[in-house]
Amino acid sequence: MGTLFQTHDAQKKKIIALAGRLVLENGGDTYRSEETILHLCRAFGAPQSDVVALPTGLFLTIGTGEQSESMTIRIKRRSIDLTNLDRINAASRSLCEGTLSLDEGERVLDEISRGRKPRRLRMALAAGISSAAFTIFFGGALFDALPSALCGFFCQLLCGLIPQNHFASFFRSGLGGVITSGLAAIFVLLFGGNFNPIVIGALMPLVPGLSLTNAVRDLIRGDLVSGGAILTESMLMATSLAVGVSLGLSFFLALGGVV
Amino acid sequence: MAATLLRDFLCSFIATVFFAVLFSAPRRAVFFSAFIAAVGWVIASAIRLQGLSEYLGYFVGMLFVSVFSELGARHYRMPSIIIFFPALIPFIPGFGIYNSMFYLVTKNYDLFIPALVQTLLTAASIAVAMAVVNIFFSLKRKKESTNDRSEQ
Repeated sequence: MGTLFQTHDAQKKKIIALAGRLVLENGGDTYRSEETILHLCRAFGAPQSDVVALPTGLFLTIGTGEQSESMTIRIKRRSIDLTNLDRINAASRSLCEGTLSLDEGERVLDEISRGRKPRRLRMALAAGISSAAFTIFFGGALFDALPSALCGFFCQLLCGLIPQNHFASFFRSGLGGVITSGLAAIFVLLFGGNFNPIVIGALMPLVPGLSLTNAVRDLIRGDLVSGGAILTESMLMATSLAVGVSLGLSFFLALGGVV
Repeated sequence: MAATLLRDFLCSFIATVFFAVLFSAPRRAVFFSAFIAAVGWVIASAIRLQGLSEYLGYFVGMLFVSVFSELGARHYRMPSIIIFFPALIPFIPGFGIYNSMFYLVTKNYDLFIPALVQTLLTAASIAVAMAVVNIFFSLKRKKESTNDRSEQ
């Protein structure tokens, strides 16, 4: 197996594979992942490259015209981190333009790959406030904002503790649904309030919005495999969420709660 | 009507801001995301309150959000999805999904069907608006890159 690139062979291959993988792992759509890989390949001098990106794996062939090398990379975790997407995009753009050195680019991507310390408290607070805002948005009274914030806060806190693999992705939704509706049920039974707006508002962080968006984008582009897969995942998440909420709801109604 | 719209604007703005924080959006785009979300929602609300079809409202509102997230993406030099995703969230028919499930669980099958249909139609309006803008901008991108190549 000869070297593919004239210089920095291993490093270039690593950067290409890493960039593509990180896009998918941070919530990017398959088009962006493929484009990132192809731009980098072309910039590094391998115009005969091609790639298929799926939510569960990446298959790429880097070809210089004389030789080619194929890689298969499994995507095991998928979470949404928009800042990382921005940084990956900026890094790959700069690498292609030549304004970023290979070493620097590798360093940036490695750093993103290692991940940041999870800011659980800040996320939970943000979830709480946005839940409260959504509750009022969906017609709840101001009084309902507090339980909504609490539900959103605890839901985010507890769900954040679950590691993010494909296996867990819709389990998280289900758990979140149960926690949210359960807490809301307890609060409304004790203190009164409008159950429905509280639960809906508190659930908004769990609704698979980005997945649906990416699914639609992929399907339009003709990426039926990844589009279909992501659509299925969104449906599973939504169903799991609904099941979770219905558990809390049944509990609430059984204890004499009035919606 | 103005009071409702103001409440809608504030709520969707705040909700979007904190939603963006939740998904670690880069700071410089958060305000813009929230702003277009709020304006888009007000447009959708206004259309609905005027007595026109609520689905038309969602469609136009989403059109606005999609177009401006693409334009914003060019301005801020970031992938459009970063601006678009937080702004999309107020449009997701959370109420419809919940209602559908609620009627199903409480065995109100006659109310379940209309709620489900409404949810699906809302989702469809949003998706079509997204799709239209997406297609438009990717055709534009293709045209730009073809022009670049032909100029060489």
